[in-house]
Amino acid sequence: MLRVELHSSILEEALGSRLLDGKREPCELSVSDFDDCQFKLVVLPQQENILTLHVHVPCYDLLSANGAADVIDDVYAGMKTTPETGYQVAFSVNANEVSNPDETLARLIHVKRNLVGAPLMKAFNALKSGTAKSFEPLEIPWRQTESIFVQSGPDPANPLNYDRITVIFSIDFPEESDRAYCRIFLQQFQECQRKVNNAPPVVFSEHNNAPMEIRDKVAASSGIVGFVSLTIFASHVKTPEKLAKTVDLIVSFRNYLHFHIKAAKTNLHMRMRRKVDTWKQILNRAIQTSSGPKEMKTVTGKTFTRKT
Amino acid sequence: MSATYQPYLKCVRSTLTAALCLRNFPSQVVERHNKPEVEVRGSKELLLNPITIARTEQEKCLIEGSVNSVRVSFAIKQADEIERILCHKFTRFLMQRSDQFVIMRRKPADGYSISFLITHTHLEKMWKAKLVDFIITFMEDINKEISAMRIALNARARIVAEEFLKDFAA
Repeated sequence: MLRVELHSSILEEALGSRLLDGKREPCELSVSDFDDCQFKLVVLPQQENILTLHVHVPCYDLLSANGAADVIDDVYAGMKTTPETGYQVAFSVNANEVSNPDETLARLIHVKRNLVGAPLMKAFNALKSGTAKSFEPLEIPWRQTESIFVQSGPDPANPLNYDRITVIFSIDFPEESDRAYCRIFLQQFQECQRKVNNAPPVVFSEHNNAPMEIRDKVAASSGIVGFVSLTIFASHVKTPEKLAKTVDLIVSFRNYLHFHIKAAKTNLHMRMRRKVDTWKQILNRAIQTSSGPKEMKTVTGKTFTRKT
Repeated sequence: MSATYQPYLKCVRSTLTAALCLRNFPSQVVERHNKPEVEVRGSKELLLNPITIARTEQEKCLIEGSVNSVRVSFAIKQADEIERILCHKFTRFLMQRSDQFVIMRRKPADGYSISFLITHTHLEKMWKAKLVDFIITFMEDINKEISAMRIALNARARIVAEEFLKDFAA
């Protein structure tokens, strides 16, 4: 399992059983996803066909101002209702009247991807239509110490030709050893990019050497691990499928990185455990076994004692 | 393994074999106490001169002898940040399990990565040659394992990065 799913499996199961398999049961299900996202599925008794999904995403206002509001009107047309306190947006569907349950399910479980991906979508569409120059640089303060920066940039050879969108993640880990692992992973991203054809250029820079594009904005953010910038060209977003894939990947980048750092740690721990077991065996071999004379038996099983 | 490593191990082995010549020696100060003198350091005449065997500046071994106990400490090579972290994790992992390794100390001596304390009771219960063997294999293995872990981590990171970036190109 190398890739991380974009949606929460718990949510998929709960919604899927109601939309596809016709389960009608009241429930109140709170799910926390990575990235501080929270979902709450509410199905009230007596109205078991009405499914309401409350969603909490960090910096919702910013996302909403940069494309998420359009996404809600467009993708979730007619579903929006008032959210509970603590949640910023809510969608409600009537399971009895859904014309295309598979598609509705996909839309609902990918709500995080759609909301977070909205600003990226906007940026890439600008790139596609050649209006990247007018795209306003955007900073999404995703977590306290981590942000995503999205901005367009010109071709160095031709400063008038805005042909790229740079997505920069600032990455932080609180613990010393995690930081070291993270550094290794990010360095490998930078190196592998040269080997993979058509991959977007990836640059990893340490925290004290922020990329030029955002250097003036991040003067205060010292002490984080570093920055990763992914440069997306028009070729990465030219078809709608590629565009969707690119947005998927960028939205899931942080989860992917975290997942694999954790997996690497588990793997190292397993190795250590195994090694310790072999050492223990070697040491146990050194212990002298019973020092008394061995009990002797004849072929028939009788014991005899030597009398001196 | 590099050519200079074998003589280093050989030297540690012979020094250790010579140092592991212990006897029962109850405390001279407290009645009915029997403590490892190398830790208590109660009297100068019960301690032997400590010996340091160094292969490089970072990679060395300290053998401190006394009348009833020997303390062996190793400094493990730590070339860069990641090796330092792996070494720290590994030794901590081991020392938390030191009750399973009867001769392992819970804390390393100052400036070293890991320490063993061998007392005369250990020598009475164990074969001396095999005990020395264990310490030597341990030294060899921990070096090998740390570099193997480091390589595995890098390889893993490479595969992970490649898979992610391939998706962009597809």
